[in-house]
Amino acid sequence: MVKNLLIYTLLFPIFGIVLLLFTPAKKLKLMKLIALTSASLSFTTSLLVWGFFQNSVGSFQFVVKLFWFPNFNINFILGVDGISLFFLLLTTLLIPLCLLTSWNSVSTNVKEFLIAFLVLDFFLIGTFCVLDLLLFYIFFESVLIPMFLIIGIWGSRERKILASYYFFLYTLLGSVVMLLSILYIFSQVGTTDYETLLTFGFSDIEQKIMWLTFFIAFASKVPMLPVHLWLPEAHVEAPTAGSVILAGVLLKLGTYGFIRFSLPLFPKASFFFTPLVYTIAAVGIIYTSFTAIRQTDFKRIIAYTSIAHMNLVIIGIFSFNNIGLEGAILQSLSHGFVASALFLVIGVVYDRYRTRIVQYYGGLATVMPLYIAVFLFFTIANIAFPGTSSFVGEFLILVGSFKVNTTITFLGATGVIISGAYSLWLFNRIAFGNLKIQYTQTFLDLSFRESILFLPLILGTFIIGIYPNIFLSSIHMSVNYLVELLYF
Amino acid sequence: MTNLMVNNLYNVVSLQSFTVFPEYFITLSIIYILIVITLITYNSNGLMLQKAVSECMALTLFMACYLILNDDLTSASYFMDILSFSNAVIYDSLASFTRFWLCFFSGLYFLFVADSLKEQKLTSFEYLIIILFSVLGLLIMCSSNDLLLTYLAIELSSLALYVLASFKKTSSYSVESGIKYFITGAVSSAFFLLGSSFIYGFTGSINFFDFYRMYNASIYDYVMVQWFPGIGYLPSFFFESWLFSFSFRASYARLIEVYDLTFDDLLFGYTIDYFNFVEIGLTLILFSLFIKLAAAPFHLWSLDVYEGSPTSSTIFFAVITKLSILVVLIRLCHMAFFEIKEWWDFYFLSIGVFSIFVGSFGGLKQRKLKTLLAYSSTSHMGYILIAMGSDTFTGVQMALVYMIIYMISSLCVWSILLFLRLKRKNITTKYNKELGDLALLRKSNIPLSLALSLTMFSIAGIPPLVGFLAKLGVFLPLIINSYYLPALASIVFSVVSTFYYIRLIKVLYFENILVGKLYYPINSEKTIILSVLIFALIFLFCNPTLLYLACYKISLALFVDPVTYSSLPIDYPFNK
Repeated sequence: MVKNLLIYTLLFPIFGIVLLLFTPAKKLKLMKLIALTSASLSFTTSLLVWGFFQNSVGSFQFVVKLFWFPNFNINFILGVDGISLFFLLLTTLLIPLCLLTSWNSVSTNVKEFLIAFLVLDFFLIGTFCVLDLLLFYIFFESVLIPMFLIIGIWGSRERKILASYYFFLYTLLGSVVMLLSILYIFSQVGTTDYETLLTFGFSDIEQKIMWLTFFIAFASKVPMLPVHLWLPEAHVEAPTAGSVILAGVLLKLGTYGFIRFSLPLFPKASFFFTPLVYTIAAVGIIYTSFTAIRQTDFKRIIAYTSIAHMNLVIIGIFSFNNIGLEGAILQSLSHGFVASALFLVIGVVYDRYRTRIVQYYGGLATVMPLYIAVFLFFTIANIAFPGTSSFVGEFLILVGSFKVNTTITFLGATGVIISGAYSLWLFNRIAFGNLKIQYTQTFLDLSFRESILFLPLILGTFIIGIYPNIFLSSIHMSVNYLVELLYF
Repeated sequence: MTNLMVNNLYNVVSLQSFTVFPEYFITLSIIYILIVITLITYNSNGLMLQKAVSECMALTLFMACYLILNDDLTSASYFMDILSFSNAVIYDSLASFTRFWLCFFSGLYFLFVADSLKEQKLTSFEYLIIILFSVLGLLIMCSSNDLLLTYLAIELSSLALYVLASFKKTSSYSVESGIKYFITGAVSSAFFLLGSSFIYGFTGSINFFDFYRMYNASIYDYVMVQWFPGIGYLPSFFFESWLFSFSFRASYARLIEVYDLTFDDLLFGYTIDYFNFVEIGLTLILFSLFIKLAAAPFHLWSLDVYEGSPTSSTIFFAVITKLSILVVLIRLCHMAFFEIKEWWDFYFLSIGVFSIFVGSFGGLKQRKLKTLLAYSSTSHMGYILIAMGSDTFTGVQMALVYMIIYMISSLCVWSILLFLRLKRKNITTKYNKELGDLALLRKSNIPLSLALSLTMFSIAGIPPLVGFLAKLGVFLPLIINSYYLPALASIVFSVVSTFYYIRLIKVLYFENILVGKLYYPINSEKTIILSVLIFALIFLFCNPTLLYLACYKISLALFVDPVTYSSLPIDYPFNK
């Protein structure tokens, strides 16, 4: 039972999809309940995975092997370690929240919407759990289909088509070259089983070329600077739920890929290319932070913020020490909570007033106090205020990188300061000032459903901020193992 | 290779007849159906009978499938090659596999084509019979081991195809496309014949097996020819079959006379240097086959022919015919002329990459559905060609896998295009010509649009569908053999081509257009066929071993000599 927990986590969304397919499209409530139940069951099983997780073990746990392509030595192996555990939890947590936030706001093609989200759930869980390079790639790419449809069909404006194309083609072009590298690895090693690959040493030149191809794939997912253009477009045009899952989980595919594959498979190349990564990441942090200040669209601001924060995570990863890597994982988790909560916050006002332009809002503190309280909390978390999760993550990242390179720590910390500027500016515009009665007359505070929505995220942000050891103790051994591999 | 065993197991006569038994069966069926229907429709047109005839033909083809599967030889071993009809017909696992799938897909095609004929106003039943003639030609092509038989089979199928293209006599486009097809087909045939005559002139043979032997001469052969010049090989009680046929002996003796070969030449394989003209002939034949495949510099006919012909004919050109050409390419290059791989692999790789390039960029601005699919099929042929050019064993395996998956997915797409019936009667265009016409398909027929988009994702090669595995398989032999540049180029082009595949999905799902065309729902029979095809697309991804292992075994049978069957002193043919 416990051994097969990951399979159950994977199967619940599929179960939901099958049930949804046989539900008549007119029974909206029933369909939503089915989808929510299956997603929540998946979350529950992933919590059980955390419960039965042994912190003292650095290698993979709950390993299940299913035969998929045995004559090519490519098999469906599932397993989690400290690195992937919290990405898994984040995914399964956010999917029910996405379904809840679009409970009333999605009115067209509801069945397809629910199915798309459950399919997305399945693919994301697969991406984080699978221990086979090729299958990782397959899940990594598969995410494109439901996300492309979510942006394109349930997006809000005409620009959504451009946005969905950007999303699809940037990610695809980035990752196809990685496919060639995977094939090369397969032709050299004879398998793409992750644990076997760890024992294989590639020559320097092989490492460098393959690292670059992996870097393009993951960097366009994180996203790093020259290929970040799809992200603001996709975020702005996607429905709220789409933005939440995009910021919360999809960006983490890039960092997860770096930690899981680029570093241990190509350690020498990772060290070799560190200056390149630092440069791109530092430029990305500062540039996107400044860009965020001059945006007028609510979602665009948060989107650019996400880029800055994710680039900080990259700096943490490439510090190659325990503190930096643990900080990177924790900051990814924290960003998953905070950024998705901020998108939910936007979704609340967007559901009411159908606009995301900041100038139409003002003085909401007087009429929507609960809403503003939540917004304030996550704004503070976004600035990385002590006591919130981002503080722990960013602090660990900066400490880790300080050990390696003080300049990059300085540049990264600049981003943290600028994030204070734009977050507070944004909060100021929305919450204070005069009520703009010329645009909006009716005001509704958070409903019960919406309050429920924010609770787990607030809880998670607080817990990581106050007592991060709950999370760090699970992460610790796996990161130790990874760092040992790096300096082997 | 196993003529020895075969002679012990079967006598020659039964051997000769059973290798082409499905073809006999289909020929007899054609004659029978023709006679019966001519008698029935003596005073009327064949409109009423189209459905019945097509079902009859589907039944014939499924029966042929059964006949191909149900022989003792392939079930006994994958490694048997049986030659009959003076070495002109080869019967091996490749032939039975491809003939099976050919019959199967043609049967499926017949099942859904009948209703659409009525709508396209192709009222005569001869249409179906002509298709069956073409299938017959394609079947013979799969098992032909001889330049002349290959040529005749290609002509048999092509002549039927020209008629199919121009069958809609009221449409000038249809007639135009028929003429275009005919002219390019004739040029292709001319190339084939020129190439064949080059090869025949310089080797004295037209048999694939003899070509193989010429490039793989061993000491044993030399000794035999030198010591027994008059009789050729030592006639023994078991050496009396195809292996030492007249043509082979003649050609071999000719080699030794004309080029004055020495013992050392044969010992060290220097004979290859004398064959420049054979290589030129081979190139001409390859070009002729590339024209038939619609690979890139030779693809221009396909755009107009696909667009102009009736859709039911286009499906046949685009989906069914390619498999047999692939088999001829395998037999010619990977078996007969394997030893000059460094000569022909250049053509495969360059034309393959160029096809992918043209197919990807040509489709970008294309608004017409059928032309778009023609470009798409050109790029698919490119993937198959690069796989075959890069590697022998894995290349053939992956090309076969790709071809089967290509056939499934494009049969899906084309059949959906065929199934769409417009609801409004009084508009001028009856069929979907433009991409934008599909905009309201989502409103009027949800499952059909879902099927179309799934297939499009599969063809584009996006992972959780089988099209991804097919593409993956194609790039594997390229990477194994260090062809990094072609691999990189074609994978980047493949991303370009996804642009127009997902544009179709955009048209289907993303636009909120209120004015457009509405469609009738499709009937249950077509639904079943379509859902079987879609199911295959997903199932083959979940269980890829099924298809890959089958193609692996075929590749193995073509190129690997199992120890158990090589009891003779000389290295036996087709067992590299």
